[in-house]
Amino acid sequence: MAIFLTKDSKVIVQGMTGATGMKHTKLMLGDGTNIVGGVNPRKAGTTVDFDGTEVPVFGSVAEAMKETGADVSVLFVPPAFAKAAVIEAIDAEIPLAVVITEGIAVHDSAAFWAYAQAKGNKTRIIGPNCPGLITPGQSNAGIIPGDITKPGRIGLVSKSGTLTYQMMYELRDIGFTSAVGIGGDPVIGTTHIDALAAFEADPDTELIVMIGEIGGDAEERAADFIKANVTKPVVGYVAGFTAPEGKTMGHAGAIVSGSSGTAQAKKEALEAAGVKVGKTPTETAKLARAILAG
Amino acid sequence: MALAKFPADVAEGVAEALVTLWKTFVAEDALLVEVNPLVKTKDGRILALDGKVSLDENADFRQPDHEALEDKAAANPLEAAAKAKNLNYVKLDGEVGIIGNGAGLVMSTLDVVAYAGENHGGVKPANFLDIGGGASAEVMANGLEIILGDPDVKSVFVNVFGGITACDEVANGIVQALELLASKGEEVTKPLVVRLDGNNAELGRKILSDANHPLVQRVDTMDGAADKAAELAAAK
Repeated sequence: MAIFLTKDSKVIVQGMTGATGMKHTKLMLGDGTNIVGGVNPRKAGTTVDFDGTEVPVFGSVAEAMKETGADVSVLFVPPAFAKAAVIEAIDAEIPLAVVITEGIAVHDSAAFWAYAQAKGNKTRIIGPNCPGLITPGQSNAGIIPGDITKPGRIGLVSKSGTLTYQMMYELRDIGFTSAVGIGGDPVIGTTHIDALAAFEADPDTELIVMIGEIGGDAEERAADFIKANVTKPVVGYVAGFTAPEGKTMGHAGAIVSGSSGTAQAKKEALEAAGVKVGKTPTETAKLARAILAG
Repeated sequence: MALAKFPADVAEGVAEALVTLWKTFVAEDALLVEVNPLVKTKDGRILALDGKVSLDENADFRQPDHEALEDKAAANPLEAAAKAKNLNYVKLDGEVGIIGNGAGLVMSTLDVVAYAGENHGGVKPANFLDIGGGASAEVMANGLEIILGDPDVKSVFVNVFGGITACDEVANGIVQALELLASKGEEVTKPLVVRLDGNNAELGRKILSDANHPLVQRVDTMDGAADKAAELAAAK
C-alpha cells in the first residue's frame, strides 16, 4: 500500500516540454511511473519520445484527463505561470496536483490554495517548492531520486527535499511505503497533518518519520494532531536550531520571527506528543531503527 | 468592526486603516504589513505610529519598483556579493564555513556543526550557503570564493547529498572549483572537509581521493565530517 500515489496512478506533466520537465519526465518513466501525457497548448497533438516511450501532448489538463483518465498532475511550470496552471488543474478537478516549481509568489500560492478550497477541495495540492512524492517500486511523481531506497514499512513526510533524500538513504535497507515532500514555502497545500492522517490509515506503514524546520507552526499543529489521532510510532527531526532570528534560511517559509517558529519550540511540542525527536538526521534514523526492531 | 468590538467613536478610523493595510498587502505582494502601535490621539484621529513591511522577492517579476527600495549599502558585504552571484547565503557569527545542497540539509548541517563545536572550543557555523541541486563547478567555485573571502572562517565543511545530481559530478565540481580558484590566483588556504553521500558516492569519493588536494579531507558521514571541520576550526 501507499499514500496518495500508487502503481495505478495515471500521471500527466504540466510543463513537460521544458528542459526541467523533459529531464524529470524521463527519470519518472524510468522509475516505473505511468506517465500518460504532457500538457502544453502550443504543442497539443504532438508526441515526445522518451527512450522509445511516446508520450502524447495535450492542449489542456481537462483534455488530457478525458483522453487518458489521468488522476495526477506534476507541475514544472515556471513561477510566473504556475498560478494559472494550478488553477487549470483545479478546474479540471484532477485529484492530485504536485507543484514542484520553486519561487512562486506567496500571493499566487495563497490564491490557488483558496481557489481549491472554494471549489470544494476536489484537488489535493502538494507543494509548491517541493520534491513531490514517491511510492518506491510503484510510482514517482516529482524529483525524488528513485533509486535511493526500496518498498518498505516507513512513511516519510518532510518540508525539505534533501533531508527527505538523506533520511531515505539512512533507512534504505528498511524501505518506505511512501515519502512525501510537502515543501518549505509559507503557503502549502498538503500539510504534515494530511500526510500523518494518510499514513495512520495505511495498513503497510508501521512507523512515520516526520521532518520539519523553523518557521510557522505546522510542527506544533502536527504535534497536537499526533497526540489526538496517531497510534503508530512517530519519529521526528527538526532543522534550524542555530538559525538566527529574522533571517530566511533558504526556504521562503524558514524564518524565526521574534520568539515564534523556533526549532526548540517545535521539538518540545513534538516530544510532548510522544514523538521521539533526533538531534541529527543520523540519530533520528537510529531512533526509527530501534523502534522497528522492537 | 462591531465584531472586533472597537468603540463606535474609533470604528470608522480603524476600518479605514485596516482597508489601507489590506490594499497595500495585496498591491505590493507583501508577506507582512504590520502596524504597531495604532493609536487614537487626544483629538480623536487614528494614527499608525510605527510599521513594518516585508516584501516577497518571488514577486519581483511583477513589482519592478521594489528593487529601488532595497538598501544595498546596508547589506552585509559578503551577503551582497553572494546575492550578486545568485547564491543563497546568510552570514552567521561562527568559524566553520558551510556549503551544502538543499535548504533543509544546510540548516541541518549548521545544527550538526554547532553540536560538534561543543566538543571543540565552542566553534560555530560561519554561514548558511545552499548551492542548490546542480552543484556545477562554477557554482561550487562561486560558493567557495564567498566562504573563503570571509575572514572569520577557519575551516570549511562541504556537505552534499547526491540526489538527482550524482556525487561524481559534485566531486568533479569541487576539484574544478579548486583549480578555477587557483587559476584566478585565489589559492585555497583553509582546510576543507568534504562529505559526499548518496547517488554514486563511491565514485565521487574516489575522484576526491585521486585529486589528492593537500587541504581537502574526506569524511564519509555527516556527523563525523562536522566533528572534523569543528576540530580543524578550533585548532586554527
